[in-house]
Amino acid sequence: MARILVVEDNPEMRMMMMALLGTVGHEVVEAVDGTDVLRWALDEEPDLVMLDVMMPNVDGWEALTMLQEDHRTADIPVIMVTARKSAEDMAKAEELGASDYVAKPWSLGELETRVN
Amino acid sequence: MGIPPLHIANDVAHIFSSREPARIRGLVFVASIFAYIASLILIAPSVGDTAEVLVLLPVVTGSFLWSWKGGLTTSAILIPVNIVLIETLANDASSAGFSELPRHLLIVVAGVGAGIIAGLTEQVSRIAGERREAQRSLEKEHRLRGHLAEISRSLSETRSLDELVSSLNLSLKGVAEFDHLLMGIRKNAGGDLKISHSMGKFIADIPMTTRLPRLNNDTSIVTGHLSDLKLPNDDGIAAAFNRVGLHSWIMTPLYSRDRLVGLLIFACEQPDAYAAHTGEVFDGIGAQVAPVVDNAVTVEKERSLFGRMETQNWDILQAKAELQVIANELTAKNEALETASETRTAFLSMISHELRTPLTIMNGFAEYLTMNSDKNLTESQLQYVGVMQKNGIQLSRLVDDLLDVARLESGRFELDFNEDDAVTHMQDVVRGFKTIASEKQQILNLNAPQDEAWAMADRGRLTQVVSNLLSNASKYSAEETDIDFSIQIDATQVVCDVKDQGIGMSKEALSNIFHTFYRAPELKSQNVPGTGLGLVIARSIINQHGGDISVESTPGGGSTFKFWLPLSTADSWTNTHPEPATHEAA
Repeated sequence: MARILVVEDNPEMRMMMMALLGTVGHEVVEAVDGTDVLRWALDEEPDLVMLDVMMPNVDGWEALTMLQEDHRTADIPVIMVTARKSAEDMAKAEELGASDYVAKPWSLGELETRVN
Repeated sequence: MGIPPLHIANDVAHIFSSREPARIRGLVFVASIFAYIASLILIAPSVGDTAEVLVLLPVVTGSFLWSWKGGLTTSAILIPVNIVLIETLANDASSAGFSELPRHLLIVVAGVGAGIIAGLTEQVSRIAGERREAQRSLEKEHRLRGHLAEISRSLSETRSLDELVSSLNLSLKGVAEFDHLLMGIRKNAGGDLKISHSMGKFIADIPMTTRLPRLNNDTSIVTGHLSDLKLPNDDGIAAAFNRVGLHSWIMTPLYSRDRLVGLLIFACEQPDAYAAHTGEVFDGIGAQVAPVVDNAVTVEKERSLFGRMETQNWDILQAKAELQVIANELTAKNEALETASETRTAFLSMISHELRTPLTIMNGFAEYLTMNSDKNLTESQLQYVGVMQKNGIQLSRLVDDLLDVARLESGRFELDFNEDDAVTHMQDVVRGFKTIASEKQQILNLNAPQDEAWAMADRGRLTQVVSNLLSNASKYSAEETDIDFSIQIDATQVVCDVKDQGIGMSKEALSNIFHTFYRAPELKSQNVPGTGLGLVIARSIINQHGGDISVESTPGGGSTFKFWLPLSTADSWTNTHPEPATHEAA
């Protein structure tokens, strides 16, 4: 039972994630954009952040960097969510400080494993 | 006194110069005898006494004889005329009262004088004649020289054999008389000459194939009559000339650089036309013409050679141009192919990419529904949702495959190698598949050794391969059949077999089974879904692991897929992947 901050620009995607994560009992907070991720993180104090890589304006990587750079949010585990599953992306995720990486489409099972 | 008649007589006499044929000279001689006798008869009446006869006779005879030595005709006319005049003079003198002695003296003097004058006249006329002769021959020589110079000049200007012969024909007309001119050129290494040019009256009658005399290297100017032409057979020049009526000829061989290059033959209808010609003139002509002919022949040879070379060159250039066109076409086609390939890859990437988000959303909600968290779905609704989910997962697998293929084709298919116990890993995958197999009541048999086999592998991708093979085995087999998965380890590799009792493959399918999008024709009727991508990807993965995959099958008799992976210690791996292996806890 955790509080998860989901940052994803696609509303339907957000809807699905909320529904799916909700069935296993997690509380989901949604953010639309990467720009305000820092404020959201500070306000909502989530246990986990899920960042969509491909977003307009501020993309997932930039958001990740923002979180890592602020010491107040640096410790929050981050899972990158993306359509691509390439070695470079995975390396990048690791390099920038993400805890994990999940590629679309994923099943709840996968999600759960990672989340825990 | 008698001088004017002398001059007239001189000119008349020169008509009858010593050039005349013997007959006329004979006539003149006879005529002069008569004149001598006539003159005697004429002066006879006026002769007074024997003393005069004794004086006159020797004088007259002597003068005649002397004159004959000098010039027959002159004396024949002159002397009688003079004698008559002298006699008349003497008669007049005697009638004028001169005595006998001075009269006889006068006669002697007159006679001797007449004789001297006649002789002198003869000499003078002879000298004049000779001078005219000399002048004529000088003129002739001048003309000849002029012609030769003209020949020489025109020769230096000619470029081709045809020009040469034409100008020769024109210029030589002034030098020699001829009704027909033939030029022969050496055609081969032997001494054979062939007619190259024929000009003159009989151009139509003397065939160009007429054989020319064979000459050796020291044949000089030859003139002759028809019978002089010594030829091996009758179809040669002798016969030809005979046939057309050319009765005399002169032949000038042409030598250049110590060898025979050709031959000029001048022929005339008149016999003995060249009898009096000196060889010098034709020698000169030959010497001048020969090098020019030699040159012209060489030039023509070179020209034909050059012409052939030019043709060949032209052919080569044309071929080159055609090749260039083909090369351009090939380049264009190549570019088109590359573009098409890039387009296809881009298409595959785009498809898989764009489908992912909607798929994720759909699959996510499908899964959510299967969880029935509000517990308000009916059995059948749950079943339907299950079907939706299953199909959604299938769809996302397809999208993954498409993306893999796109990556394969663009060379961006990367594997993440770690040292792994292949045996254990594959066993896990097989066991995981048992549930799916049981849906069709198929029995999955696993035959694996107890040992470990360490290989450098991308775990996820290897799973993909094994899953694909097992999935195929299940898909293409009927219910309640067996699927056998066996693993074997030898010194350098680990070998796996996946054997099914399914529909098998025809020869055609066997050879195409690893090709992108290939689906065996027999499957279309069976309605078995598939994309024809799984094996393509599987092969690529196995190959990148350093191994290979193959299949044996008979229609209706099932199929056996076999793949092998090199152990991390194997040379085949270490040689191509020279990184030290590290053991990880399994």
